[in-house]
Amino acid sequence: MRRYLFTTDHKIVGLQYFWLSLIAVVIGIALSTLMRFHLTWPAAQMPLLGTMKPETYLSVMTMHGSLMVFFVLSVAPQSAFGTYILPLQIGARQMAHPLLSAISFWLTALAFLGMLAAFFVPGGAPLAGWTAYPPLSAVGAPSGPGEGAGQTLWILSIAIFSVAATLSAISFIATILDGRAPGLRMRDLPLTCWNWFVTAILSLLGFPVLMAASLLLLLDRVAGASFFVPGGLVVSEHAIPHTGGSPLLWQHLFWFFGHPEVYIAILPGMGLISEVISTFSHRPIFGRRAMIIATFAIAFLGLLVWGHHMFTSGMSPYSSIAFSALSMTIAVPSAVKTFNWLGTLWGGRIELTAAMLFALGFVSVFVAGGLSGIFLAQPALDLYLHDTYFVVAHFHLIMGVAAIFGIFSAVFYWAPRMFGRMLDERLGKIHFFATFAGVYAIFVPMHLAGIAGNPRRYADFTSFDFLAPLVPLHSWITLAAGFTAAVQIIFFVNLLWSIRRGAPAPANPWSAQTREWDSTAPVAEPPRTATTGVAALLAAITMLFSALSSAYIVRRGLSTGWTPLSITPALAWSSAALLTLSAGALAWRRQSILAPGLGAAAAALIVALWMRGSAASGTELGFLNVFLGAFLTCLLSGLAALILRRQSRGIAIYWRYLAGMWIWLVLLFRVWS
Amino acid sequence: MIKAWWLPAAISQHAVAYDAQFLRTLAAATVIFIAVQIALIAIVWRYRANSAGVRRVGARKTNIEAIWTAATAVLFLGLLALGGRIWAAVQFTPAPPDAELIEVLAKQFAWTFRYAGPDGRFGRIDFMLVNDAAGNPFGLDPEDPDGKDDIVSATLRVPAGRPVQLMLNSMDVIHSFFVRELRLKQDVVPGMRIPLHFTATRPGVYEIPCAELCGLGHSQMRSTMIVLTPAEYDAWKRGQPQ
Repeated sequence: MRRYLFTTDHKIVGLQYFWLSLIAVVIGIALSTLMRFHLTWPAAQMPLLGTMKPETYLSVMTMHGSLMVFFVLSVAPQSAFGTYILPLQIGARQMAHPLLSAISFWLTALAFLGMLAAFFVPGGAPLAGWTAYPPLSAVGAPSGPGEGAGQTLWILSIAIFSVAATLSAISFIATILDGRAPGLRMRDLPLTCWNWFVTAILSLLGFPVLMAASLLLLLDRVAGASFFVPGGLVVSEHAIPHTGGSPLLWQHLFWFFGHPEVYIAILPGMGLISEVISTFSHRPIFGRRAMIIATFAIAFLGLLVWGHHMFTSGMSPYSSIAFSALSMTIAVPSAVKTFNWLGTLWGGRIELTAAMLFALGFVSVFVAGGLSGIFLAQPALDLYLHDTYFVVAHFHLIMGVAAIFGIFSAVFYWAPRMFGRMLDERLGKIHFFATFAGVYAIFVPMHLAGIAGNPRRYADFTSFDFLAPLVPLHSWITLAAGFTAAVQIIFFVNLLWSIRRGAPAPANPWSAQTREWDSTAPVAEPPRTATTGVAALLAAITMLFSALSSAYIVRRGLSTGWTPLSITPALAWSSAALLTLSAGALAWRRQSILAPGLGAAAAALIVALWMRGSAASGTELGFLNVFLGAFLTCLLSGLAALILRRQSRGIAIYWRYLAGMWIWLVLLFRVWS
Repeated sequence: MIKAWWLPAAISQHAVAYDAQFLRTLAAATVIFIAVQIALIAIVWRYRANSAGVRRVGARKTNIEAIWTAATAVLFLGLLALGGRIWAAVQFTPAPPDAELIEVLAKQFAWTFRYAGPDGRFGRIDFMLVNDAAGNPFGLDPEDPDGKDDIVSATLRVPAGRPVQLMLNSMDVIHSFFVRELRLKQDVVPGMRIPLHFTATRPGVYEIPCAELCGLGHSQMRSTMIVLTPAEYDAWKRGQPQ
């Protein structure tokens, strides 16, 4: 039991992720069914719940979104299938950093339990939505039930999840770059590996920013800081003591993560269905190189378009044009992908297995969801459609359904490899056609509700005249959602039955070309070099400190009543000098005790700096704590690593980087105190 | 009923331009949607395993792909340019100086509107003084003489055909001002005063929902915008207690 639970074997860790996301998806579906039921029968008595109150509805909605986005869409396609299959596809015995992957799983599990625990604390689960916009999410219980302990738990869960996702991304990147079998070139990798690689890069750049944002939000809530809450607010007759923060700052940080998150959810599915379509058309992937380039293009553009979530937010209308143009440009690589999927099918010998049907379904809903995106990417059209059911329909199709079709396709495709048994094809096909019809029956009418101007996140449609005629439409959507949720039982029955009693799987049931099916393919131990992993870690740390530094500069610039940080210049500069000397000493005498000694002295000075600076209060103290807390965490773990393994090249790089980062922080504090 | 499942009446020039751009985008999206879905089904049908479709394995001309890609780019950037003009008209052009200035206060879970009154000046406000029960929903400071004649109303009355400039304020969390018939939505962000201008042309009563999640009463945060003829509007303003 212990060996199974605390293993670092990539296959078991992959399965652990798989089952975790399966539990999360069941809860997520159940919550969405509750929501739809309430929207259609707002006054109905439900068993256990009674009549659902508006705040309960909003909590259910928040948890549905959070569970699905984080614990299903960010876990299953990448961490579950990737951790299991990636090493097999590249001929590695393990992930490059198996311990990181295992720690990442356990942190994910901890975050999952923390998220669920929010249901059971006083006030219940948060009601601010998965986007948690402050001030609603920042000012505590006066702004609504669930905004007390529930929201705090939510933020902690997201912060832990961000750490887990970052560690997992480091392991993926190192595995793909370093762990490939001898002679396997990057360009020859299956598209699944390419897409896991690009997804890992997006996670690496996105999640540290989400972690920075959630740390700051936490400090707003529990430590009297005001990063996101402006002054002079009165919430339910409570004067809010915060002052000088910016609600839009949260939105920028959140969506800088939040938009790449869409691609984190969907890119692994794109890679998978490319391979599945090729396998079951018995043709090579059409335009393989173009597919790889398009994946990078989508990811790169995806990092630059976060502002299209903020067209109506009050940010500069000029920046909207830039964000809009970049968003529209994503249509081009997306069109390339669609074209190449059709090109792969063309002239093939198409076998309509369940895995193939879900892959084809992916293409269908990806096109459908992408096309509603060209409405929303135009700021002028977003003026009306923003935050209506049009948006809900759009992102459910492209991010939810498409990604979940990718997951279904992967389950049918890889079950023989993962469980040694075939899933039942007939049940699979029934499940596909029912689900495919179901999602279109839900989401096409949902666009109409949006076109009629129906705002999202409404607990009922009883207060507005214009919503009354939409009730039959919503009843239909509820019916279709109930049907679609019910037919998922077919899938779960098929999965749970087949992995125990299904037909034993032959070695390569689909005659696939990729290496995970070839049990005779040689596997090699991935090299134990830390350099790539360290480089990836440094990229993540850079994103964390960039996000914090941007927040600092913005917040400092906005503020009129700012108490300058009391950074003692002597301590700041002498610690920077010691740290630089320490990094130099490492190059000069790697074995000597000089480098860790100087490093320890620098750490002591930084701790002293922190103690003296803690005379500040509120936001200034919050910044000091979060910067120095994060930096000292990096520094002390580096110091420990340095003492234990002085020879490692990776640690030397890390150590020099920290010296540079500290100089940047000292400059930041000195120039914009 | 089915008519209510679509865009509502358009009551400003911007709304008319909006609908045209919406329909252009819809036309492009519909054509692409149908074409791709049919292509997908047709290809799968033709080349399904037990069909007699001709197999091709040779290389194909890739210039089809270049054309497809270029066409996508041109189409979408064209839509962007057309839509950009509508955006610019709303967001880049300030309201004319003679626009009717109306202050909006959003709070959990109500809208309140304020007009300057005959003196043309707004009085000071203080969110701590906001008290619906005591008849001070806008938090007017009773000490400030400028505020004595301010008109405070739970409904938004605007004159047809005259430009209106709203100044949006929130005292607690983010709300969003939305009038479907104007095709306009603007978040109301605490700590920011955000302007929004429009010219409604058709008299009538239009609902104002809150469009940004603001707490448990979000779905009940309702007001109405009453577009009056200029004569009716002036008469209403004169008839307010000073």
